[in-house]
Amino acid sequence: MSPVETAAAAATAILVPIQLEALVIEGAAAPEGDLLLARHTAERGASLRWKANRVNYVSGLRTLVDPKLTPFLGAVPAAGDRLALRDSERPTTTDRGVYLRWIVPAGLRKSLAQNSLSFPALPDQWVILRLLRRATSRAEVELKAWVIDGSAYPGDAGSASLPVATPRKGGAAGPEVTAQPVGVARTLDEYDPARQAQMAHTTLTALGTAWTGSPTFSTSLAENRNVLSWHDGLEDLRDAQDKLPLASVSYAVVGWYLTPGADPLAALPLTLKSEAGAPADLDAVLKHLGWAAPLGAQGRLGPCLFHGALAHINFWDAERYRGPLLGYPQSPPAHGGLMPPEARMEVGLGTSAQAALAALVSDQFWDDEVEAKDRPKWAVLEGHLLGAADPAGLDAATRRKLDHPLGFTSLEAGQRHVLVQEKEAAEKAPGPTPAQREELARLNERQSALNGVVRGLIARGNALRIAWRERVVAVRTGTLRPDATPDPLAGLKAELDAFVEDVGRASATSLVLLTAFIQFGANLPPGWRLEAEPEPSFWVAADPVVMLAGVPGASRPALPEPLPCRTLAGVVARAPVAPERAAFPEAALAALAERLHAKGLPQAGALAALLREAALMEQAVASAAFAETAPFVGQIEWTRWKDALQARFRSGTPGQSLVLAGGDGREVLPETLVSVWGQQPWSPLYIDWSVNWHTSPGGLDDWRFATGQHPLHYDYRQPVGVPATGRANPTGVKGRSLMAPMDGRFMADALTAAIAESRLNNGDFAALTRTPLVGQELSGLGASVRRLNAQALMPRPDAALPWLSTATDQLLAQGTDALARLAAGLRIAMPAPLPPLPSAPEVPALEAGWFRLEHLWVIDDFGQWAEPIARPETRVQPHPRSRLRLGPAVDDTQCGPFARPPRLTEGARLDIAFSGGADPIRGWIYLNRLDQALVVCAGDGKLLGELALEGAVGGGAAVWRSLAEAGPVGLAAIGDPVLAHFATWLADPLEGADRLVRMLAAIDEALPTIRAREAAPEQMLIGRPLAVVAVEARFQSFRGEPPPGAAALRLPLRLGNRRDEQDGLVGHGEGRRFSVFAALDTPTAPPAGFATASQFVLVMDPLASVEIASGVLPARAASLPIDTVRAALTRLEIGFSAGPVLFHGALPLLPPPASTGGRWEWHGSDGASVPIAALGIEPRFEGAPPSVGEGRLILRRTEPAAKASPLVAEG
Amino acid sequence: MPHPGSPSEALSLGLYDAYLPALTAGSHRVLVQQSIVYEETGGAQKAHHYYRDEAFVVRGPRFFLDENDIHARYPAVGAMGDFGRHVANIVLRKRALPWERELTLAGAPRAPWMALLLLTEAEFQAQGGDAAVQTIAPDALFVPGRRTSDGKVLFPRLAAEPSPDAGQQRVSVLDLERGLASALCPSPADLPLLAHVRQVAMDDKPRAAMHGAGEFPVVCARRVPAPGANLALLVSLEGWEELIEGRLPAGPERLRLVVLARWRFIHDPGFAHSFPGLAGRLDIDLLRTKTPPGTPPAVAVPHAAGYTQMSYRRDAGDALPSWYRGPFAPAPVALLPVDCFDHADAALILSPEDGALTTSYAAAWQLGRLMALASPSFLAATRAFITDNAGPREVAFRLDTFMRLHLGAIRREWAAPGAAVSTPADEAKAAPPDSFHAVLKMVVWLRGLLRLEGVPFPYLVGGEALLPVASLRFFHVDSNWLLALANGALSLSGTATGAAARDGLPLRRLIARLVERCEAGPMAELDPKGDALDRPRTGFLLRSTLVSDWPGLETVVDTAAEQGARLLRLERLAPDVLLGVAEGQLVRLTLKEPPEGLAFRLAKHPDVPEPDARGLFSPLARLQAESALGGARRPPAAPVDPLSAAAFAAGALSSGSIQSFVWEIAR
Repeated sequence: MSPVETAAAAATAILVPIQLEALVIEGAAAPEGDLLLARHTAERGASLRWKANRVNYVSGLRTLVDPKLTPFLGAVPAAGDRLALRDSERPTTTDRGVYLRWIVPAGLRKSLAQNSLSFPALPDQWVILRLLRRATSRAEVELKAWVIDGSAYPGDAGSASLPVATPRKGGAAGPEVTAQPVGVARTLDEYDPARQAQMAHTTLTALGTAWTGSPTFSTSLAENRNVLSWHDGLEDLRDAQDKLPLASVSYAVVGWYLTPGADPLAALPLTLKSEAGAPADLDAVLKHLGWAAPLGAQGRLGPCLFHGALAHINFWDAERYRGPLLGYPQSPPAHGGLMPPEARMEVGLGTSAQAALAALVSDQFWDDEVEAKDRPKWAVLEGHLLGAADPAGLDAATRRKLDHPLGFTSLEAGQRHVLVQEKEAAEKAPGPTPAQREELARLNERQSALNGVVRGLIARGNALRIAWRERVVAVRTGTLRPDATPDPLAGLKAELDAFVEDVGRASATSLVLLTAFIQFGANLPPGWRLEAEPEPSFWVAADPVVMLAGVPGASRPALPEPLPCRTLAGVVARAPVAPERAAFPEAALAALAERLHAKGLPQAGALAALLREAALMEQAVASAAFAETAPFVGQIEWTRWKDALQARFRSGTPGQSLVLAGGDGREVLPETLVSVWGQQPWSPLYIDWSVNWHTSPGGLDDWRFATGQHPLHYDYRQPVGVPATGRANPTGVKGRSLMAPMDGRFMADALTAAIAESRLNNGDFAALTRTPLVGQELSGLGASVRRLNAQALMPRPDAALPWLSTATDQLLAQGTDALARLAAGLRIAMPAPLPPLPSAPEVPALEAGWFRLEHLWVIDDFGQWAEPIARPETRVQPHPRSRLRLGPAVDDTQCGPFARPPRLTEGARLDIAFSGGADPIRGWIYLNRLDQALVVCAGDGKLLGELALEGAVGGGAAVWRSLAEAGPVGLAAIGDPVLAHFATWLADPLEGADRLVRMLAAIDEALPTIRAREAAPEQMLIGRPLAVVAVEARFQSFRGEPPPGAAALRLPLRLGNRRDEQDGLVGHGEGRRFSVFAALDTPTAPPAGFATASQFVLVMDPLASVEIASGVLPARAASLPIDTVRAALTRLEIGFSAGPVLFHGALPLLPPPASTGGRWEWHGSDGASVPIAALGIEPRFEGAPPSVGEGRLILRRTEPAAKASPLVAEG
Repeated sequence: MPHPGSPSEALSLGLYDAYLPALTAGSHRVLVQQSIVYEETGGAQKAHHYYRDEAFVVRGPRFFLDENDIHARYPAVGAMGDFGRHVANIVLRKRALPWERELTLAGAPRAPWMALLLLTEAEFQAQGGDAAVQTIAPDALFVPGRRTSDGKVLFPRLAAEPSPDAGQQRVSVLDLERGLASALCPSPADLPLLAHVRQVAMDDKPRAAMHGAGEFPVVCARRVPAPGANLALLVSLEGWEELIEGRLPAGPERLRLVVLARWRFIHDPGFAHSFPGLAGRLDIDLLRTKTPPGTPPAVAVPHAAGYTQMSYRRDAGDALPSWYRGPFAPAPVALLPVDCFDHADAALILSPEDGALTTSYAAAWQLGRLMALASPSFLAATRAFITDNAGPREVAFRLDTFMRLHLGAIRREWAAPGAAVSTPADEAKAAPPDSFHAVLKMVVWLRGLLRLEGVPFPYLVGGEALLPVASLRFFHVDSNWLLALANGALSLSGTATGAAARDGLPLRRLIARLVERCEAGPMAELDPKGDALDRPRTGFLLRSTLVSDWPGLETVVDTAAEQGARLLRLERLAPDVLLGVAEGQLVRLTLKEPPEGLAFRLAKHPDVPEPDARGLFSPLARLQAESALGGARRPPAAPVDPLSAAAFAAGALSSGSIQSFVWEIAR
């Protein structure tokens, strides 16, 4: 015995409740060979079907290409477009009986750390006890027991489902891995502990097997047969006519760990170490597991014993007992027409859960022409889902969010650092020096480069994993021999070597940078610190979401949280039962206990005690059930009786709940000991879906990126003379999506709010709230459309259990693990590698098209399924904005075509960069309304001059007047080339005053619609200053280099958004030379690509942002650094003409205009400058002759404003 | 034109001994004690005593007087005249000021803490002259031992008072020779008689900020001026009880007195300085420049029309001769056919006959714009209210619409400022917008602009020739000029005329309506007539020492339309320039000597003691003598107490003078 085992033996067993469920299949095979699903479910939807589900991974393990996890359980098209099971897959008579399944506690299904695939081991040894009460002698109980060894090889491939890789013994024969099913079930009589001990065992976790891992393993009957589930065919009970006796059956299971060291109370303290590295204490372990420590437990706890019981599955004769009893599997409907009508199943399809939910209530279309107050109810619901309480009062920006079928998921791109000033320290402390800011900019540049390198490495790592997988497949299929000469793996090894080296180098760089940032942060002035902020994300098209309404909800009952655990001292020894109605199998239990001891099962005494407790519970249930067996005249009475009985075995109902106490006198909740079988279980686990994907025949030409202020995505434009969407050449895509639990409160809140808005409520929302809603992404659709195999098994390389060779697997595991750590530290997404589908053509860089949802099954963990769109009356409602409006002739299916506008196939982002680095503002312009002129200032705010209209409108000219302090500056002499081109272009004499007039009009038109974040200091005086900035925009691929075929891609951009008042664009010029100026609402948009950047010049409100939309990615808002802008605004010089003004001698008599900072000067026609002093209005009779003059008033900024931010000095 | 004054109306004033504040300035304490006695269950008496002691400071002037607190000095600063028997005095604006601090004098009634000492120039020079008046920090007065290090200068007995702006203050001190100080300082008996309060009506005076309108404290000297220059020193007596009571400690040769105010005047028996005298010498005319005979008509005619010739330096670099006239013209001005100018140049007038350039309205337009640009609140309101291109008429139209829309709220606001927002909205047709107050300020600012508030004087009067020294000029207000001014102020947002053009109301009427509503205040009408700029307005400009030496100069105008019409504006633009504007044709202007500044003269009577050889006299002695004479000479308003400060003042006041001027309109 190892020390761990010794310690475990000395400890007190902890009793952990688990949930036990049973699906009962009985009856004759239907004409087609189907067994009828237990009739009781008819009341929850007659469309429920069932398959004696059995997943076989074995071939998948051998080939890694066909895992047999095919959606629709291998169903094939049958008459009427429906899918039916293959003959070979249909249930047969041997599939009759009771399917038991138990759910291990949530704490064991939780990974040991965040973002980790490391899970605790699951209990693998189970004793199952069946308790049978025949109708003929209700009081008597017959016992039968089985033992399951869930982790033992070799299992019987016919009964076990889970294959687990095993290294070939001997090792010399190469690295080939074989897979064998695990999970052995024996009757207690047949069970031979010695023989079991000789078998090889593995360790099972919630993923089933650590190499291929299935997220549904711990719940799906199809995957965990004889591991966490078991089929009792009841064959030993049937008579010669294959009939079952009239009886009720109950089951109890008790489980433990074969290896004491795998027991969580022994293993977890070492894995869940404290910060100091000390093993975690019991409290921490129990907290992680979500278990409540048994009260009064003394000394060490452990090992764990898991136990659960399910009582009273009835096989009574309905006629003899004058009515259906509890859960009689084949009883006819008892409701006598009193049952509420079946809920109508409806399906909504959208690009997000919100959109899919809104689609459910969409029966009308809506476009931008409709007034906000007339929005249809789905749009109202969307408003609430997006958090806008009053959809009619939605501001333009939020409305645009509604307009945008986002349909994207983000990929974290990495992080960079920014300086943050503590609030309380504001205004007082000195800021970082310009040198420090420059240093930070340099560090961030290095960080950004590293982020790019790591993203590239991730792409490289994925490519390597796919290559590695291809070789594994080749080895499995015999086309590649790893031991051949020359070494066929040499190339891969060399690549892996280089990869590991590069990952190491990147990790080292990351460490160096981290140190540099820490050092930098330490030298910051007090009150300032560094904060990490994410780089702009990359985006990939998200998979659409289906929202199902009316699907019967989950029936899985929940145990209390945390799980109330006990020790043996708390085992219930007595329960309030009437022994004359149901006897207790005292003698049989004693014999069982003896056999358990005799078989040498560990903790045999504890097992016997728990089984005895389960028998007591069965007696209690039976005794209560038999108390009242009067015939039930209808469903209502029956339901009342059933509910009362079930309530008795649930705590919390005063006067009804069974009161139980353990041997230690403490209360024991009955639901932790037994559940009373009431109906067939139904807990939707995943959906299988099938769509027909139609690629746009004309590609991007079929789509139109609307200019002006239209929605932000491409609209479908039906090509002339081409049928819009026939059923020609679709690509069929099937997929399976796991129903991941999520917090549905956002829906409930939005629905409640929408209902409250009575004006627009037609009762449909209320109907929705009463209907069980199930939403799920059609995960993998996008990948499949891109010809990627989203369902491929991607074994994790494991050097201890190599698939190819130790060398390759070790290197790949080492490299990818290190890369994963690096990426997690830098907050960079690690997209999963997806191998291409066999013989897939090259994936285009951009794809567009539409699809129809053809089939949809909702499948539960027992293999029962419902088909929400199998009925003629059920339609799939695509979200109105995603619904392609086509002719009625082609729109005749149960799902209208769902548009997927053009999307980039790889994770990408639109990179926006202001040229000019720390000082991106090339110049300033503002509309001088006082003179109807356009004033031009340099980037540093120095007044350069103004362009004024001279002469008649239409025939006039734009005249440049220099206002520079140092002396006259010609247009060509303006320092900044961008600004110089801009001003020269405006003043082009060949164009007359046209350009200037149009520019002034554009500014005049744009400014009232822009509500910038704050008013500029001098806005009062001269109107809003506008920044002239040069921008470069290009697409960037997550993996660094553009995807194949994307290099030539050039997509138009749309700049600005007049409907968003936070958008500050006035207009833009293409290129750096400003050859073409386009105000908003003009069709010109400079195209951008991966290889070539789009260059343009923006005239924008510096305090607002500019939206830049590509139609294929989420729109981005680019804004100037606010500190820089504020500082620059305080330096902005102002000038305007004035006259005639009276003079007193040489001094102009005028009040200095209001301004913040700076000094006002008078520039007379003679070129002389006179500072303007505060004006005294009183008479001064000094004899100076009065005169009149014209000139200009100019606000000079010689010194930075006193309270400007530290950035001023830098600029 | 001068019309010899006849005192048709008696100058009326009230005289009071003092205005004693409830709490004097300085440190105070509040002591509260409460005792509670109660019976315990056992029958024993138990007592609790609660005690609280709170110190506080009443702040008041101590070491210097704000110039705004001084209303007038008599004789005026630098005045030259026969002041032989006149009592120099200073008129203050805060009624309690001379009594705000308390002197601890034994057995004397509450005395003022300041005294006006009159020194001859020779005496002053003997002290060191102007150089002897030093400026020091107040802390320097609190010296241990109250003496300079050499022991020669004695300081007042003062205790430090906490003051938030201590350290920034400066105090003027003069080290006065001990003997002179003792001689000049009033005795405890005389001191209370040397300050009193005069109460006068304020209706006819230019507006001035003061505590208790019309109540002026006056502090008198107890010495008559000597021939030649005299120096009046208002000094603080705080801490000088020893000096007043004649018990100065031996030793120090000089006393460090805190000087609150000082001025010089000259007593020259050969020179008359009197209100009627000055008024009689006024040059009275219309506001125009006289040209010598023989001047060419091209120059003489514009001058006669009130214009001034000015050189006009154009932006193009050239200089042209031009004519300028402010808003005041010697004759009524016809309305211009155009009332809205998009820019200043549009308001330039070029004479077709001789090419003469008139810049009057263009300069007014530009000034209006610059004044608007100089007013942060007007700018902010304009930018908040008008965000698009809108010209003056459009802005005026929107302001008019704004006032019509929110008339209810505006009336409430003007009836009780700040109440507009909180009153129920049902009265108002529309709830006032956020910018309500900002826009309202804009309107009020505009009204002030049309009253020429803040307009620099050179813009009003184009040159000194129009208003020479000692002159009175009558004028008509040129409403074109006012309109151009408003035009400029409303021109900040552009030139466009949108809704205003469709409405059809001319700018003149729109602006007049705004002004009329402002004038009506809470009684503002929805649609006033809008003829405010069409009605004739006239006024006068007075440049004279009458204005500077009699700051409270009272002015009454009569217009043709209505007798006793109130002036729309009466303001001292400079110490010696007074502007008055009235609605309608002004026919008579009456100037009255201000009662609070009436000359203060010692009457001569054989039984009343005359000032001694140094000019010093004792008010008490004089009063006692006068009292002994009985009713032989009753003052106009005899006070109850014949030995009071009011009685002393009543006995010495002169009767004052009233001067009327008639504008003879050329018919």
